[in-house]
Parts: sequence; C-alpha cells; structure tokens
Amino acid sequence: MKNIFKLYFLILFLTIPGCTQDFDEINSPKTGAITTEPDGLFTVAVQRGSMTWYMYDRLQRYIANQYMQYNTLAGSGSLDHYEPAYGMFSDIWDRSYGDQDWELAPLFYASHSIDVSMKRSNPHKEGISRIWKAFLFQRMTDLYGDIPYSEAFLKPLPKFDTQESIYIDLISQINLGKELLSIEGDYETFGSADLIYNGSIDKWEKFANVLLMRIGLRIINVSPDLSQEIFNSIQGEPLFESNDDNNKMRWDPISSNIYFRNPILVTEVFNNTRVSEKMINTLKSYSDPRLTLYAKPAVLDGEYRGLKNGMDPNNQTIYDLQYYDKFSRLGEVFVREDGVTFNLHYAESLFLRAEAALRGLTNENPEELYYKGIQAAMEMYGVLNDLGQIDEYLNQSIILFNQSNALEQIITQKWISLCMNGVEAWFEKRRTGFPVFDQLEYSGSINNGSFPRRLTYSDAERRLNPQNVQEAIDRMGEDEQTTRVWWDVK
Amino acid sequence: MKYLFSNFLLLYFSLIHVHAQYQIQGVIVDAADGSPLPGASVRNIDLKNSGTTASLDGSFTLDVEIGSRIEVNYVGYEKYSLRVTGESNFLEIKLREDIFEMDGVVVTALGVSKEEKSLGYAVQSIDNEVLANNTSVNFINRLAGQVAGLNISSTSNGPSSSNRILIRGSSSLTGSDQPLFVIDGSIVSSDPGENFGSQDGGIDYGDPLSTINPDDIESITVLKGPGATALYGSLGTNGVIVITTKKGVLEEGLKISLSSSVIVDRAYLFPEFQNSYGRGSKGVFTKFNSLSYGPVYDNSPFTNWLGNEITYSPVYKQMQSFFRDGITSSHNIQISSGSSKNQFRLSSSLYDAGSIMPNSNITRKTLNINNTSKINDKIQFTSKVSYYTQTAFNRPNLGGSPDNPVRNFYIMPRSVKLEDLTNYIDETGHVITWDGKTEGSFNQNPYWGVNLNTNEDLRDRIIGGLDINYDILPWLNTIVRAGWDYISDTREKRIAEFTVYKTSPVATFSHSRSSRLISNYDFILSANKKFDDFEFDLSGGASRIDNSIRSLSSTGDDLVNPDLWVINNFKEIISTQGISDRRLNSLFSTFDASWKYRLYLNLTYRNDWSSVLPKVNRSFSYWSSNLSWIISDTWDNFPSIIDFAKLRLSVAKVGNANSLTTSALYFNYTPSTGHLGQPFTRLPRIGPNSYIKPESTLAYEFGVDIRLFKGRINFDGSVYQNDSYDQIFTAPVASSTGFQQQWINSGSIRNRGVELVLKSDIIKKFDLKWNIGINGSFNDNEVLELSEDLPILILGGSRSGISVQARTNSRSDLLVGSRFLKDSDGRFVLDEFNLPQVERDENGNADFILGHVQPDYMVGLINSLDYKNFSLYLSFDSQFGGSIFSSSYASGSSVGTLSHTIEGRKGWAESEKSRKELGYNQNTWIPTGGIPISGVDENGNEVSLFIEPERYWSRLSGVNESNVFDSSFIRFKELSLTYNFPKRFFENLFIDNSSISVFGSNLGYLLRRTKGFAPQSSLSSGKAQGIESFAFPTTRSFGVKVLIRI
Repeated sequence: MKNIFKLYFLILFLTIPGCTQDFDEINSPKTGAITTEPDGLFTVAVQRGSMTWYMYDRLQRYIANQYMQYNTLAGSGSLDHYEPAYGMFSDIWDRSYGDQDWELAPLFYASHSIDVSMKRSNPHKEGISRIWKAFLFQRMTDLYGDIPYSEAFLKPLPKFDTQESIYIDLISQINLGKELLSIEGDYETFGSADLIYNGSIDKWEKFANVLLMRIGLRIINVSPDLSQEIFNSIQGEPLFESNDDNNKMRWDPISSNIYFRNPILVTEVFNNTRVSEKMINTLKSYSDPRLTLYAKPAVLDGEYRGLKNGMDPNNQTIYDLQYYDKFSRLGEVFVREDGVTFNLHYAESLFLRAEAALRGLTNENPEELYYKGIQAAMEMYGVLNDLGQIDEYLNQSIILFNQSNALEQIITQKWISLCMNGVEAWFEKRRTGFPVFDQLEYSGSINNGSFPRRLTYSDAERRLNPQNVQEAIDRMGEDEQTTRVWWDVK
Repeated sequence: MKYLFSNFLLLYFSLIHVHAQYQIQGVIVDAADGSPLPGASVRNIDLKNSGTTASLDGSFTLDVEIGSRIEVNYVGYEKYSLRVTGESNFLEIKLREDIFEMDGVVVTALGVSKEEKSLGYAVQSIDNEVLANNTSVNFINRLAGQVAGLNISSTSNGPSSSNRILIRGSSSLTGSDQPLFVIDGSIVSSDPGENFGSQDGGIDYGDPLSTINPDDIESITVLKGPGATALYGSLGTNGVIVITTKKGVLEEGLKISLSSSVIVDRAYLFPEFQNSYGRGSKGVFTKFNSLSYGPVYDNSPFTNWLGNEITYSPVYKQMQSFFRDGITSSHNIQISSGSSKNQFRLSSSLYDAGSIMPNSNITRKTLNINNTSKINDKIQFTSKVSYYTQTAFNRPNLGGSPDNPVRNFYIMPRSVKLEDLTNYIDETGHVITWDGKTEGSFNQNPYWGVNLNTNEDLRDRIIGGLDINYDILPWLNTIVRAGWDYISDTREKRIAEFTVYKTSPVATFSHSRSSRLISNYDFILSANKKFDDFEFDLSGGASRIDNSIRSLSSTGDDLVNPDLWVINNFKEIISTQGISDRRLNSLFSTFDASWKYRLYLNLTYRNDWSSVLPKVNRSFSYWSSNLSWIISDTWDNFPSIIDFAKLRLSVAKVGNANSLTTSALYFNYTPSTGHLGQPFTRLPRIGPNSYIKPESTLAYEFGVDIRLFKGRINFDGSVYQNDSYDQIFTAPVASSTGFQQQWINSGSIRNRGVELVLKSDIIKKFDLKWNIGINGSFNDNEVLELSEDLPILILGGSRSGISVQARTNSRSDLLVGSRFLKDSDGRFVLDEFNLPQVERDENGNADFILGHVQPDYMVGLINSLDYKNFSLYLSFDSQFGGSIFSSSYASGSSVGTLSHTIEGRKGWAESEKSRKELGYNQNTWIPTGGIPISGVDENGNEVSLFIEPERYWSRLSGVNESNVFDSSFIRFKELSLTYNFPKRFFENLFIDNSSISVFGSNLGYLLRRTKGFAPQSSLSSGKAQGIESFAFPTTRSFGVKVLIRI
C-alpha cells in the first residue's frame, strides 16, 4: 500500500514539466561539431577539386576528353557529336557548388576553408585556400562563362558575375594569397591535410605564379594589357622547377570507396571507351615513345589503333561489342591503382612560358622552353633520355621548333601532355584553335557540328535562381553551347 | 473543510435517492459464453441521474421503480433494455455481441473512455469481433476498408511489409503522415524508419507495428480529426490510432485458449508477358541481346545463349516458377484468470512465415503479460509487459535493385529459360547470367541475388507499462501512467564478391545496430460533478515524452577469410554512429459539460514544450472545442422512426514538429572518413534555420449521427476542413548557395472531405443475423501556398523522369512527367521519324501534371452473416480517382517482354520481307504492316502509316504519360467462414468450446485498371507514393484457423 504511493509519486514526479533548461543539451548536435579547424575542409576541397570518379566521368571522360579526342565512347554518343547533354551539364554545376551525398562540392569547401582559416587567424592556411579557390573558380567560369562568384554561398539568390570581373578578382585573390603566405610567423601548416603539397608554403607560392600565367594567357586575346601586367608582376618570382612541383592528386590504391580511387581507373573498368584515333595517329606519326604508355595494344591483333570520334550513329557496326576489340584501351600510365591525376604540371608551366615568350610577354627563349616542356612531359610518365630517346624525338623535322607555326606546335605538345585532362585542353583549343581536328563524320542534329564553346547552365539553377540566370543570359547571349565566353573571341 | 466535504457528499447521495423506490441487483453477462461484462453501463432511463457500471464480476445495483425502463450498454454489444416488473430483485442480463456497436463507450485521447454520443467529433472503432476474424498477421492490413477516410498503402512485398496510413489526406508536405499509435495510453513507435524501398532498391524492414500480435488486441479506435486529437498537441496532427489490449477477465479458475492457423500466400498478379517472340532485335536473334524483339517462335533447331542445341519455342511462366507459395503458420496461447482482486492474462505466440520469394522467411515470438490488481476500493494497479522477438532472413530487395528478382523478369529476354539460370556461378566465382557479362552489368541472375546477396535482421522489442488509477473521492480521480517502448534492431546485409553490378569486385558487408527508447509519463487528475441537469468533468494533467535513438552501423569491404561474414573479417571498415534525443513536456486540461444528456461541450487545451525547436519557439499551445447535440432527445415530438439523432461541431488547432532534426537548427560540421587516412570535415547539405516553428493545423468538422427503425439503420456523416500552415520543409535552393535545400516554415495545405458510414441490420431474427456496413469517404487536397519563390516542390521521383510534386493552387501529390505533343484536335504531332514526340514547355521542360496519387473516393463494404453456429464474413474495399506510374511497365515495354508489345510485329516482319524482295531501301519503302499510327507532321499535314513496333515502344516507353495508370480498384478483400462447435460436442471433454474458420484475403479485384501489378503498390512507405517499380506480385492468401478454449 505504501509502496504503491511511492510508485505513484515517482511517476508523478517524472511527468512534471516546467524545466526546459536541459532542452539545449538534449537538442545539441551529438554527431557533428559547431566549430572546426580548416584542415578537414581543405582536404575535401583539394581532393574533390582534383575530380573524383563521378566528376571525372562526366566532365572529362564523356565531355572534354571526347571534345579533345583523347577517348571515344563506344556507340557514338551525342556528346561526341557536340550535342548538349543538359542533365550532365547540370550535374557538373550542381556538384561543384553544393553537396549531393558523396559528391562534395569543392567550391563550397574551398570557400569555407578560407572562412575558418580566418577565424583561426592562420594566414598561411587562408592564403593556400584562396589560391586553390581561385584555381577552382577559374575552371568553373571557363566551363560556363558568367557564374555566381561574389555572392555565391552568401545570398539565397546569388547574382551572376561577369567573367571579366571574376578574372580580375581571381588575380587579386591569388596575389592576396601570395601576400598571406609571405607573412612571417610560426603558423601551423596544413601538413598532410594538404594532399597536394603537404603544407609546403614554397610550393603553393610557385603554384600561385604558374596559375597566374595560366590566367594571363587565357585572357591574351581579350585583354592583352592585363596579360602583360600579370607577366610583369611575376617576373623573377619562383615557378615550377621540375616534375616534383606538379600539382597533382595521389589516389588510394586499396580503398574500396571509389571516390578515393584513381578516377581514370574506376571509369576505365566500365570498358566502354577506347583511345581516340586522333591521339594514336598523332603519337604514331611523331614516333612518340609515349604511344605504348598512353595506349594498350588492341585485343584483337595487338596493333595500336585508335577509335575515331564523331562516327555516324546510323552505322550499325558501332553497336557490335566485338567491333571494339580492334581498338586500344588506355595505357598503363593512366590506370595504375596508385596513379595520379594532374591539376597543373611542370610541362604545362613550360609551355605557358614558351607561349608567353613567343608573344613577347617575357624575354625568355620560346624554343628552349618548348623543348624543355616536351622533355618534362615525357619524363612525367617515365620516358627517359638515357639512350637519347627524347633527343631523337625532338630532332624530327616535324617537332623541331618552327617560328612560323610555333603556337600550334606548343599547344599541340601541351595537348599531348594534358592527355586525359581534356578540360584544360578544351579551354586552350577554344582560345587558340589548336590542335586542329578533322570534320566529324556525323555532325549531329542540334548544333550542326560546331565545336562547343561552353556548357549550359544547370536546370536547377535556372529554375531556382531564374532572374539572375536571365541577367547573365541577357549579358552573355543565349544559354547555348555555341555562345562564347568573355575571353573566347578568336 | 472536512465538514463541508461531508455535507457535499450527503447532498450528492441525497440527489440520487430522491426518487428511489428500491434497489435492484443484477449481473450482466455475455450471452454467448456467460462471461461477466465488467464496466457495462446500466441506467434507469426514467430516472435521469441514475446510472452505474457493472463491477468486475458483472454485478450491479441500481435504483428503480416498478415500470421504469432499464437500459444496458456495453461496448461491442447490442443495447439491451427491459421494463422492471417487480417480480424479482435480481436480473441476469445477457448481452449479445454486436459487431456494429453503435452506442457505447469509446476510448478517446489519453485513454479516457467517453460515451460516444457525447463526442463532438468523429471516431470509429473496430472491436475484437472484427479483429478476431484474423486473416492477416499484420493488424494494420485489417483496417483497410473498415474505417471511413483511412487510406493504407504498403510496399507490397508480403506480410511483413511497411504500411503507410493516411487519415483525412496528407497534411504535411515533407513530414511524416503516419498517425500516432497509442497502446493502452502509452505512445509507441510506429515510424517505419529510413529503410524503405527507393529507386535504387533497398529493403523494407517492416514498420514496428507489424511485430504486434493481433490476437492481443481488444479494440482499435481511430481518432480522425484534430478535434479528437488536440489533447495530443504536437503529436496529434495526423490522427491517432488508439489500441486497447486484452486484459484478464473475471473468471473462475484458469481460462486457456489455443489457436493455430495456417495461411498460404500465392502470388497471382503477374506481369502480362508475351510468348510469341524471343531474344533479339529487329526480328533477328543475337546471342546476348537484351531485347525481346527477336524472331517469332517457329520450333526450329536453335543454339541458345549457353550454347545448348534446343528448339526455338516459347518459354512460359519463368516468373511464376521462380516464386513459391509462402506458408505462414501461427500458434497462439492465451491464459487468463481473475478474481475480484486480481485479473491476469498471459499470451504467447509463435509465428513463422515463408515468403513467396525462395530462401526468405520471418519468424516471430511474442509474450504478453497483463495484470490488473485492485489494491483496495479506490486504487487499481495495472501493469503489463510485452516482449517481441523477430528474425527475418533475406527480405526482398525492392525497386530498381538488380537483386530484385522481379526486375529481372521484366527485362530478361522471353526466350531465356529459368532452368538455364539455376546454375548461377562459374568456377571462377563469377556470375553466369543471360547477358553474358560477368562485371559491369545490372542484369543480375535472380538466383545469385536471392542466394548470395542475402540479408538478415533481428528485432527485439519490449513494451512495458503500468498505471495507477486512484479514486481519491467518488467524484475525483487520478491516474498516473508510465510506459516504455524499447526497440532494438540488428541488421546485416551481404553483397558477395564478384557481384555483377558492383563497381569493385570485392564483397561488402554491412552490420548495423540501433535502439530506440520512447518513454512517457502521464499524470491526470479529473473531477466529475453533477448539478441537476448539468454534469461537469474537469481534468488536468502533465506529461513527458522522451525519445532517444542510438545507432552504430559499419560497412566492411573486401573479405579476408572467405565466407566469414563478421565485420572484423573485412579489410576496410567504415563505421557511423548516430545519436538523437528529443523531449516533449506538456501540460493539458479538458473541460466537459453536459446538459440533460442532450447537449455536450468539450474544451481542451494543451501546451507543449519541445526540445527540437529553437529556444524562441519552444512553447506552443493547442486547443479544441467540440459540441454534441442530441436533437432527438431535445424535442418530445421528434418523429418516432428516428431513434436517435445527433449533430456534432468541432473546431481545433493541433501542430507538428515531427520532421525536425537537430541539423535543422545548427550549421554542423561532420567528420567523416577521408582520403589516404586524411579525415574529411563535411558541411551540411541542407541550410539550417534557427527560427523554425512547428507546423499547425486548424480544423473544422461538422457531423450528424442518425439511427432509424430501432437502430436497424445507422448513419453517420462528417464533413471537415483541415488547413495546415507553417509547413516545415526543406525547399530546394539553387546550388550556388552551397546547399541543395534549405529548412523553411512556409506554405499551407487544405484538406476537405466527407466521410459517411452506414450500418444496417438487414435481417435480425432468431438464428439469422445479417449486417451490412458501408463506409465511404471523399478527400480533396489543395496546396494554397508553398513559399514566395517556390511554385513547385518535388517530393520524390524516379529516374524515369516522373516525380511527385506539390504545386501552389494545385495538390500536394501530383504525378508530374512527360506527355505526348498533340495538336489542337488531339492528334499526335509526329517527329521526323514519324514517332509521337514529347511536349516541351517554353523552357524546354517536359513537366506536365499527369494525375494525382491519392484517391478521391474510398468505399468499403463489410458483410457479416450469422446463422446458428456459422458465421460468414466478407469485405470489399475500393478506391477511385488516383493514379500510379509504373516503371516496370515502362521497362517491359521498351525491351519487348510484355504482351502489348507484339501488336504489329507480324505485319512489320512481312512488310520488311516484301521490301527486301522488291529491293527497296528504307527511305523509299512504304511499310505495309506494323503499328498503325496517325497524326500530323510538324507542318500540320496529316500522316497515317505503319511504324516498326520496336521503335514505337522504345519511344513510347520513355514518355511518362504512357506508363501512368488509373489506380482505382474494387477488391474482394476478405472472406471468412467460421463454425462454432456446439457445446455438446465436447460434453465429456475438457474443452469448453471451439471453433474453426477458413478464410481468404486479398481474393481478387473486381475492378482494376493497372496492368500486371497491384494498384496499391508503392515504392516506399514514405512520401514518394504513386510510383510502382518492380513490385512483388500481389498475393492471395487462404488459411485455416482453429480455436480451442479450455
């Protein structure tokens, strides 16, 4: 009897509300943190910014690597005929700006890495983050043209900035980054959280200067004065000195999470692409020692044979899977388990310098830099000059520096060195027109076979931020692949 | 004070005794088995203030005069009345059970029993008589068609599947629509969890309610509108289903009852496959082609895909042969005993169900103990504990998962024999399947799927509760109640090495454990007073509900030792821990007033403090006011054919913050596994909002209840309007904000509807009794507003481009997708290939409304016929006006496996033959056969010609419109025939009585518009209703149940 009352009052006591002061504790997030260090954010920004498999698959393998005739998809898809793939273009946009499941958006993380570094008063981490963010945003604007930049991640309906204003800000962001890096002090480095340079301030400074060169030449046709200014500003500044300075991502050879694995390998397993005919034929005609590294012999007869881009989809043979046994798959250097992919390599820095010299932006010797660039590109994939292989290659008349078509030579060599990084090669082709490709066998039904100048905006962005998209379109021209971005005037 | 109080008591008793002539005693028993009916209400109709309830042994004492009329009411029994003759001072009143119990007591919010006629809102109860006709192992399945306005859909993968229950339409855009479940006053978990089917597959682990033993349920009451549920405050938005479990009854000695049943589930609704054309394309066979547009079967010698020499002839019923009969056996024992001091009940059940899918089954054991003790005259103590343990092996993979065998049968070329697939693995451990691939393919061998990629789960659940009911004074009562619901889930999923669709060839194993504890504590104090014509009830109380979830899930990749499926035998392990807590504190009060038993007013008020809301918005209040007016008792000259007539009116406000999580309020950095050992910090995907407040619903309800011809015809109707506003949802935002979505509080939805219930005792004489019950409902849903810049909200969708959307000034369950381009006369506008094409709006989008998911009308029909010892029960349910999109139908059309794709194939083949003979090329030839198509070309010129079927279906299957079906149906839901053995059968045995029933459920559709799948199929029990994706075939169940009482 007494106990029943004890029980009664015990339960009664438990029902008494009133106190809500423990509610904050009950509701505080238990599996996430409200404050953080920038390291984990920067790690995401560089890892995803180097394009993990999904982004690589869409942006490189399907789009840019086909445009730039590095690989050809079996079955002759519409992308290979320069027709738009709106879903894919939307995907690339949406996954660059915002997270979707395992798709972590590098632009968003780089931005936050800057913010958190500032909160932590670490100028070195902030500087590195600013430089990396500039690298990513340049790629983004080169893909689409005008994009949300100054208000991205800050406003519910971010406005679109003109590409020109973005470029001007990118330059000042990189310079600000360099300045921050030069602040003396015993600041904690990113260390191994920096998957690219292991927290090395010196290497990020070199990268910043090479990135400025990339930017400087991209705008050469539209703003030569600014271009000259950039090259003047980096005169005597440290640049890449060897392949050790390459900005690259090392992939995890054992992880079963495909977002950590070599994206070229992950997508090559699908076994539905072959090396392009144009690439194989170029390597063959130059007796390039990289032929056997870039491609594997065809299963059918052991020949190195490339698959032509832009074939007629009405040609029934292309639907027969056995047909593809005649063509080469990707070579060993791309599909290593412990492979790397390059964001910006030493060879490219030499080709940039060669071109700048050729255009008189600097006083360097273009011929010498051109040869050094080829050599660096070969060495990058392990081609040695111990038996004079590289010299032999350089001494071919077609390779020898020729002032009259030097730009084509430089850009063509850059194209070879950028193999499987079609995005950068595509930007350079849009700027220079090189390398020159044959007319496609089939010119598609939408853009009449005209070479794509950009990607179209994301459907979701168009739907959810319509006014700002419309403003950008009014400025830039129709949201089509044929519309040229600001620097693309040639 | 004491003095005043005893005076008061004196007054109270003297009121009762004013007209008293003498006291009569009696006992109220069940007419069928003579068991006492404690709690039955007895009143003297002529003496307005008299009335009592039968005690635990069924006995009562009542003040009467000679000639006064006594009326006896008991929930679930027919009303009984008699005139006092004065012959005896002792009455034995035998009540007959009434399936369509009308007047009586219903359990309302917080477990409070109230007279149904006093209620100003609609409730509907299902008592154990109906539930006893137990044709399903999941009691939720039994509710379909029984209650007006209740819409139940399930993931359609057998008896263990999850159900989605919707009462009066969907009121929340993205929050759960599931009603609150309350068992014996305590809130229990009904959330099906995150694990339901999706476009990419997934496993339905069944909702937690499916573990409850239907044999333990005494009655179920559905509280539909906010008027009825406002006392549950922020929990009551979606309606409340109140379950009362069986208690021990007052009986001498031990009462034991045993029952066993066997149910056979047989799949009967299969896709309509074609059996005329085999593998190939354009009439030509190729070995590993994935289409069924090959040559016509001609019994010629033929080398199949395995290289075997066979004759080329039709292969029938691969899918039918793959599935088996699912056999479910269940055994149940109930033991009860009771004295006037103590009543006890124990039940235990054992249940074993084999799925129709090979290598898949579920076993469940339950134990339920319930005890009620009367400590003294004033204090009653009830305690109970239920334990459920359930093991499931190999629940089916749903939706688009390659391991879903149904998907395989839809796409597998028709000429592939099932026996060619039984050897599913080669010497190297790779799959042998019909597309010839061993990696990088989504064409799984179904036997690999069910034998190697298996899953297993264990659920333990304990529900415990106790309450103390203390009658402090005759007019003052208090209850304290504590209840706990603990669920522990362990789940394992294996994907074997070299599984054909995996991006890496290693084995993957996931093991997760989660536990959820809901504890709730209630305190209620209630006072009841009568003054002349008035009666007042005032209650107040407090409650606290804690909800906590803990989980740890690990995924391992790459086995070390073969076939050892434990997590530490994997090379790479990623673990994720989950922690979530929430608390809800509440204070509530109710006030009831009645005047002369003809006018009843009920007011409720509740204030909630919820921990999931931000500090500024933590406290919220909810209220309701309900009025019931018995007009038939108000005027004396009311038409005599109307026994009873009542009007109801209710206005209420309730709320809902159920969909909120902590991530809604905080910008959260989440650690996760990173690259080369370097950890990642992840950013939120959904933009937080620290000013979020609960959703609210303002509801109006009006109803009538009329009973005619001495209760032979009963009619109940309600109309309602529920406006739900301040919707909490994550609105999509442009990705340039960094987020995919943003938490917002916006938008309002209106649900309006009508519910009608008609019950009639068509025949009621001697041994024959025939009851019919019809219930019908209509619901209209309208989105009044979403948010300023958001005309459309996508709630779910599938990869085929179809989506379920909410649109402003339209509905919240729209099926949106592509449709055909037609000219103003409704003719197809054909493209350059003379095929129908997709219409695009000015923005180039193909998003058109193709229908809506939820039905407009639902009608249920229940028939019960008793003759002597036989009772026959049959029920039908139906719904009209909804639509469903079928991904399966789209797939089957495009690959040519379904029967409708053979139209025109013969004609096309002949046309092609003539073309080649005559040497024409395709551009100059006019086909002489194929699928006739007519329409206009882009210039508006009429075109009429034949099209190649393969190309035609390849185009049509991609246009969503052609795969949308009307989901209306009329279903013969249940049939049962029970024979109660007469007592004399067992005169010399220890058996008291016994019955045997044979029953069938889901017997067939009298009306169905879908092709090859059930109209109620759904991909998940979540929001993406109305999309069917490779649903398991619908099963028809037959069973036998034997019940013995000793």
